[in-house]
Amino acid sequence: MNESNHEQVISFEKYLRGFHPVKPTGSLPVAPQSMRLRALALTAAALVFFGLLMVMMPMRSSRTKVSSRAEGVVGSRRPVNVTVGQLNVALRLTDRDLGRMLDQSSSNLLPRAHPGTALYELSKE
Amino acid sequence: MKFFSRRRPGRDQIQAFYEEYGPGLLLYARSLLGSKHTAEDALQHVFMKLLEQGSIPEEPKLYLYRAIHNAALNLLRGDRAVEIGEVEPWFEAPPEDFTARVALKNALLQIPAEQRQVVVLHIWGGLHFEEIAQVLGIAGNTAASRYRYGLQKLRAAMQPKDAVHE
Repeated sequence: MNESNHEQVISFEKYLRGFHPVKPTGSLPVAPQSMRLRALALTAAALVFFGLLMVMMPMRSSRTKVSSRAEGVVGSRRPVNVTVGQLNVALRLTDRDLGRMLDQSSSNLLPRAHPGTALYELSKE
Repeated sequence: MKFFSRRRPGRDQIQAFYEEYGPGLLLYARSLLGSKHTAEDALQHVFMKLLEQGSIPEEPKLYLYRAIHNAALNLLRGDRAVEIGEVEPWFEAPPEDFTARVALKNALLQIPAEQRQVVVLHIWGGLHFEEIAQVLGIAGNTAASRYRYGLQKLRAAMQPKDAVHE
């Protein structure tokens, strides 16, 4: 390629570059469907999660109230050790007194057949 | 070849690619497919895929031209025939050069497709011959020789206008 031919080529290339391709008529595509579906699925999952959370919260709080109430009952009434003598005294008093005493010591009561317990002693009588 | 980095693409960045490379990519697709409508389908497909990729190409221009090339070939295989007779312009030219842009489009359509591809990629895509070779899957020398022949034929096809130009 001689000098003048090379210059002609350069000139022609420059001329061609003066033409600008037309721009696309559309804009950049929106997020592809798979991305939109993923976003939708995430939103739905989050909504379900929060929905479940809203449902679970009141149940949990009511359960907490019940258990704390139960704890309060147990906590306020510490089991009392009952001696055979006390039991004999209570047996001679009213049924109400006996009931209260058994109530107070209920968590300490062992099965009837267990030697050394009040019930064991009672069962021997 | 490593095309992607680990960076996540922001929509703004892809928008910038679309604005910078969109016209050249569209022209290249039109030079293969003829129809503007079909070429825009290919362009949308390429950018949708880029949005889906979740990573930015390390060489975005090269990646995009390769992607549009493949998208256009897929459309051609899918029986989306070239519409040579389409009247819509390929170029935005100054008003005084209205006839020249028509002549240029016609001249481009007259030269063999493989030479037209290289001319469009080099002149309006701004790709080097080695990059063109990667897009088309040919040797760099082949790309350079196709360009030389294509440019000669283009000049010849535009001779009357070219004579006025010079």
